[in-house]
Amino acid sequence: MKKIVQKEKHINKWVILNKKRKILYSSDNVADVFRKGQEYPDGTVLIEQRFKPGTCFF
Amino acid sequence: MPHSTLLKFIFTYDDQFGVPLIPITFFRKDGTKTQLLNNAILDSGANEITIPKDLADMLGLELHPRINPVQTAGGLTEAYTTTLDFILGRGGRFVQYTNVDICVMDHCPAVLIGIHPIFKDYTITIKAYQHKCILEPKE
Repeated sequence: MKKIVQKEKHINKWVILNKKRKILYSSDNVADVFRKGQEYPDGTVLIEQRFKPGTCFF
Repeated sequence: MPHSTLLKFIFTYDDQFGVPLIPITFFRKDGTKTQLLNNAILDSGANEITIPKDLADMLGLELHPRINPVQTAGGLTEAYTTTLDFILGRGGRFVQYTNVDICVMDHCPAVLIGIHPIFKDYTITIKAYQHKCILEPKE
């Protein structure tokens, strides 16, 4: 599996990626990202949440 | 809480965050789909699917305050209940769920896939050493 290389500016943000995993848009606000995602044809992009590596979840 | 035929899934996830991640697509209140969220957190410590309130508002979900506060790892918090339609899966293999009770929180750090309904419908094996989670339909 291809390793994601994160850019510092996208850490802790929600992002829209194209099929080549290029980040097209990012925001702190999850609703903004889902709303922006609707501007792309269905299935041509995907949404991910970026955490700082090493973030722990409890 | 109807769902389409359950399918076996093997999801491979990037291990950068150290937790199992699965793909999910939401439906808005008007029946249209969102784009795929590729990394919802599979969380056996959560009772239900839990989403941030901002996302619930964007989906147009009708929120009802929960009678009791919600206990999180960070302490008690206010929360809402609603119902959601969603799709589990990607790449043409998916299971659609409708009218699922979920939890909505103001300060929800991520989309959490909790016990109800996924862990109740599937035997889930997390192979953390392979960065895979395997969902096998219940017998």
